[in-house]
Amino acid sequence: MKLRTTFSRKRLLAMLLALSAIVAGIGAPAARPLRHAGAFFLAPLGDAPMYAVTQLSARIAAAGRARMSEEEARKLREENQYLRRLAAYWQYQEQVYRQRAEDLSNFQRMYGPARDLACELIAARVVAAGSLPYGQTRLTSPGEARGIRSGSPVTTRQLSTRRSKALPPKLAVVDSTFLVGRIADSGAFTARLQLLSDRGFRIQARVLRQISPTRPRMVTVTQGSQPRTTLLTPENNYPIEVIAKGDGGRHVLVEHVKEYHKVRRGDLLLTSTRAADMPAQIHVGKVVEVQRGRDPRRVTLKVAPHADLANIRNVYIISPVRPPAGTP
Amino acid sequence: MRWVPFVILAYAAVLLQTTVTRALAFTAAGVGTIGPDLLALTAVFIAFYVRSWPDAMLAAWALGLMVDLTAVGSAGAETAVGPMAVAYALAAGLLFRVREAFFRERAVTQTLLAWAFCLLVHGAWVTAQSLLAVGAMSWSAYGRTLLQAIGLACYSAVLMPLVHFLLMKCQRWFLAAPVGPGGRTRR
Repeated sequence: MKLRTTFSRKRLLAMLLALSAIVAGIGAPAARPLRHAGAFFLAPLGDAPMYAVTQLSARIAAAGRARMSEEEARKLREENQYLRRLAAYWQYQEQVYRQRAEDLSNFQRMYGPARDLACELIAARVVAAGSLPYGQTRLTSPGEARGIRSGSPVTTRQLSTRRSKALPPKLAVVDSTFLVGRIADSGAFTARLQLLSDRGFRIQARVLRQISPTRPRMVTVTQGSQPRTTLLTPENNYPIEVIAKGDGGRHVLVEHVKEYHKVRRGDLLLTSTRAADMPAQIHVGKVVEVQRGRDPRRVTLKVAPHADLANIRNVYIISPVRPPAGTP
Repeated sequence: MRWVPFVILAYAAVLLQTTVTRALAFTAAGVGTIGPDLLALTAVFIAFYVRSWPDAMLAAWALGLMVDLTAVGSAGAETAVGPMAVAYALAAGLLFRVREAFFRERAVTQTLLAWAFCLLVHGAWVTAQSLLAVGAMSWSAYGRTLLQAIGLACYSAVLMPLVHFLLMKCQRWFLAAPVGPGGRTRR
């Protein structure tokens, strides 16, 4: 009896190993449904520990920052009070503006062409991370059941929470939200988010140079067939179309940027509207380093994402709404 | 081997691995994120004290499969399910064979064997995934990911004595008749 049990375990082991090899050979088509089945069991209990971890690491990060002096704290308090007053004023102005815009849009909807960007923001929550550190992925709670598809961009919730519940579908995505990644694959109840910093992350983006009166910069522009050096002004500050990719750590890299664009620290990286499933320009991050390689004509930009990727929890998924077939 | 408690233990381990270990991970310049592999440490512990090699390999296979199911993304490619399960099972089988040659109760031995186990399984996994993702992986990316695997093995090995201590406290719960200290001596 004992011999029989041992034999059956050996046979079971051989079968499982063979099955594993076959599944590995099939690759992604077999891996995807298996992973979604696994995530189905993992997601319900992953929420609480993920909450604890993000809260704890955010507090540790906050505690690790340098403490400010008494004078700096006083200035900051004054500045905060001023900003609060300013914010209250602009909130009122915004309400007035929104009311007018709503009146106008109702009029336009009746008599003019639709100008809204066709996309839906789907609220999601990060419930788990990948078990190995080779890829920068997160598991989010809603999946295909809510219409999430692979490639959908994901933004942080921070700057859009006030509008989250009021926004009906099919309205434009507000600018100045931060991109944190895109959906790598999606199941019935869960979706996997590939972070910006993942080595496999690629996105069509644009660099927007910041014009500062105190630090003017000379750039090379081409007029006709002759290139000439001129001062960068709002008129000739065209966005630079680039491909951004994750570096596997905490940053995003933009390679092969022409040196004559004179990109500097502090310039902004935004998504390009030419990218697939990207209905608007969304802020990605800020250039923190301009690296020069062997080729003096090209530079590599190191971009720090605006979003705190290590501690993300609540996110919005931008789901473009395709017009029905046959619609002009 | 008590399989139902083992499944609960494995579930708890994978839950910790996918959530809490994020807080233990750090980013090394030029290499990437480095964090521990708790499931590998659990597999090493089971290979140390389980009575039969099929049990050691089956338990390691299950743990490896859980890693496979929850790990996605290596140099852009969506990773295949299976290589880690096979690597865990084979490495656990190997560890079971050589365990009698070592003093398993010593922290140094635990660290070294855990390091070897992690290096073996992660090296094999990275290589297998690179071979399966033809075109998506470059030599430089492969080298960098291997460096990451070495870092992961070192980090995990350092944590092995602590994990060993914690699992030793509850080993009777999932090991039916463990060998070595706290259990029956193997004849």
